[in-house]
Amino acid sequence: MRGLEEIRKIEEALLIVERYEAYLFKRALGIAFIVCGVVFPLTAFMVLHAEPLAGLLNMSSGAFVTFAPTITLLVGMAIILYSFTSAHVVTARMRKTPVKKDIAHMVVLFLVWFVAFYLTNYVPEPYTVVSWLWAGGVASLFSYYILKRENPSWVYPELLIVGVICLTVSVPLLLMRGSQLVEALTFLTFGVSFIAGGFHSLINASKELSESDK
Amino acid sequence: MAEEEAEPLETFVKGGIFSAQQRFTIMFLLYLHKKAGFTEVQKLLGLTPGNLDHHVRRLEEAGYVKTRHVLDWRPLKVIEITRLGATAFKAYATNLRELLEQVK
Repeated sequence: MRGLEEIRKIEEALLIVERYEAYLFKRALGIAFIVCGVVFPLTAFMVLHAEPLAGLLNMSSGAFVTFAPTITLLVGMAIILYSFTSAHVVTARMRKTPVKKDIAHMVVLFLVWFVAFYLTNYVPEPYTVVSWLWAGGVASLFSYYILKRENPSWVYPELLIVGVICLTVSVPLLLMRGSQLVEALTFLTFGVSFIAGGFHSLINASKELSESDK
Repeated sequence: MAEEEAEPLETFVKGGIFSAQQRFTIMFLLYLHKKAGFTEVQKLLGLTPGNLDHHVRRLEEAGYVKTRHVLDWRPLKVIEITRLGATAFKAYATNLRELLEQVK
């Protein structure tokens, strides 16, 4: 009966490995959301306020616009890439087909986000800043729907959190249009929504580790 | 290296080091992921720190894993698989596959 015992042993080990991989993925996703919540609003803020910020650093605004956002984005991307490669690619390396599928999904999601933000260029002036929240909100909800439709187990409530926060806060901000505060509040909302999504993912990740919580 | 490749099969057959579910799972996890945090493995397996330490020490004594302390956002104890451990586990897995084929 050694064979049956060994089968049970492998099954149990496989379940634990699956939980560990889910934990690593959710943790990496949480870090990615938090980094996005810090980096993107910071980059936009730096671009829009390049002149006073460059003055503070005794730089020309051209050089500031070139270097500061680029460095911020690169650092953010490096952190995200590191968290995913250390967690996911090591596992995925052994399962070649899903990696190709993952890349296809990433391209589709990138296009959704790119198109959403590209369309904000056509929004008239008093609504332009608030439209970034609409773009972020709609792109998040679309991403949630696309992933869930592709695979019912790919449910990412983090995207729902971002979408709902961005779209909900855009309503009072719309009423405040013309106020100096709108721009700052838009960036803040964007950042807070991503950070909230990120923390939700991190909390869920740690739940994957303890069987009793599942 | 020649010694390292020849010895492990004997070790697990005689010593039964992988016969315990926990040690088998630890090795399976480390074989796939190379390293894992001590606390994470402890929570995954639902073991007490002392209990996990016992299993890890047995694997360390066999030369299959090593532990080290790293500084993350908090101090972490990390368990890593060694080359000898990877070879031994691969040999064990091959042996298991043959056994399961016989069962079929």
